[in-house]
Amino acid sequence: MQDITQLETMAMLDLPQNERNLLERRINALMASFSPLRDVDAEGVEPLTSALDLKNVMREDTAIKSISRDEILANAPAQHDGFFQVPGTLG
Amino acid sequence: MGEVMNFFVTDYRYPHSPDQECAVLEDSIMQKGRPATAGSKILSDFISPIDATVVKKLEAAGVVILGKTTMDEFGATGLFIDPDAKTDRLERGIGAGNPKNRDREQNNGSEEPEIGANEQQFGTPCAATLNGAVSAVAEEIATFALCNDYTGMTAGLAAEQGLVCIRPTYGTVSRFGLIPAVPSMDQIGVVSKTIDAGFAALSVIAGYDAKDGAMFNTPGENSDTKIRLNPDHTYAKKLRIGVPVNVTGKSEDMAAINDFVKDFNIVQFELKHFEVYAQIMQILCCAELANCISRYDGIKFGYRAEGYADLRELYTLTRTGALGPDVKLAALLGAAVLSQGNYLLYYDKAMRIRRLIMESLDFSEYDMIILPAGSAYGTGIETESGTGFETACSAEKSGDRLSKPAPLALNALPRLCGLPAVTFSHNGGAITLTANQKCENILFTALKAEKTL
Repeated sequence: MQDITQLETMAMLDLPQNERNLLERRINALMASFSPLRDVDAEGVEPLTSALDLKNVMREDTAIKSISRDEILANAPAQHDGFFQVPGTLG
Repeated sequence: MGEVMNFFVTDYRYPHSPDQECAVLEDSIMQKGRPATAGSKILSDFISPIDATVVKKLEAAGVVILGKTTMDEFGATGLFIDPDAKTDRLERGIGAGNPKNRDREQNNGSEEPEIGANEQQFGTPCAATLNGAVSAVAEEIATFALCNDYTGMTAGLAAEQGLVCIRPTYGTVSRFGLIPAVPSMDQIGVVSKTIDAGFAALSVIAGYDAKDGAMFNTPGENSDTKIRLNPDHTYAKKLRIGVPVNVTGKSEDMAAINDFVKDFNIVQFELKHFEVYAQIMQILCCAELANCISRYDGIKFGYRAEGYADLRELYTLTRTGALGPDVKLAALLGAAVLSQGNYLLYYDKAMRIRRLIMESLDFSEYDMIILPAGSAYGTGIETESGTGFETACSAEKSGDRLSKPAPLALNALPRLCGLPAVTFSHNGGAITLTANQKCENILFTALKAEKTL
């Protein structure tokens, strides 16, 4: 059984009790449905993170034109003096 | 016009002349100055500051982009569709039968665009099938639509509407400007009315882009992500089509497969680990989606809740208030499979099995693999028995698995292995044809030849 409140903390959610009950049931049913994975022998198999053989792509260390500060801040819910505005984070 | 507006999240541009080719974009693809919501309330105020690479390519090719089309939130609904849900097509909301569509019609003309499934309550039909991309092409408003169909739900819907859905090889089309959902499977594909129109559109949007870190080739080493199409009908007759003996779909789809394969050389084989395809998809997709949506916290962009006392509450109120039920479920499930104690059992194991699946394919034995299309059987509706999101692949239902696999399982192969795939309707059924990486030409050849053989 998964501890739904712990998962909520990790997912930054705080569900109302009715949603919590419903999602807890679903999470547990889904996790139970994953049990056939145990029957697959994957000992010594390297986990596959991508369908492609990815390599780091480097570019020249030169400045390129990017999105301006104003354009980025235009989407912020709150801004102040050219910065994102957030509630106080220190006591 | 009311019907047309139902497909669009926001403004709708008419073409300048009737001769111009028109496209629509799923609302996860950014076009500068236009909203990009990915179907979520959490991005309801987001105006894209950039053009996606595909947008630039379309515009350079003279294609008119009509607008952004509706989608289910972050495309996540397809992860939890229950094939046993007892809903009919109208209830599932295809086309005008969708209750959300009716609401839209009634509200047509109001300034506030309806966004996402977020305001939905549990136990009501999801907006899963409110797929504006498919609808816009079906209604011939656009020649084609671009979308990121990582669950295969769009492909299934497209085939149900008699359309074609092409998913290119992973890394063929730049995802720069695509709102990420499941990065290891995200790939922009095409919904179109015909094979020709779909592949023509794909040829326009494919190609290397340094802004996407996961392109098929890096520059300098066979740097060719272009789609080359050269249907050779004599070659088509020699094509070998792999038919998995352990996969069954809806009867009409299986009948369609039987009819389609008769013109090709049939190679029967077993699709290894198919019995856990859906679970692998759910684990990997939820883990990646949970990570991708962790950036939506009400700070830098999108929706921010009110009434918070501190930073932590700002995060939780914002996310709880703005994410819809399927995305919350994905976030929680992702957190579960990635958490200490579960990581090795689920996420790591799923990645290992993903490699086993990929290595089990032998394209020296067959040129293509044919599968019944995973069309949407249901909407993931919560029922009293609680079957809603628990999918047909749950252990408890394993006896029923072969007769009715989850759409997610049927759609998994090209997504897990980065293969090109075309989903289409044929003789009243829906089929997915997939081939080895970068073998789009084989699919094109087979489909073109099938019409002429």
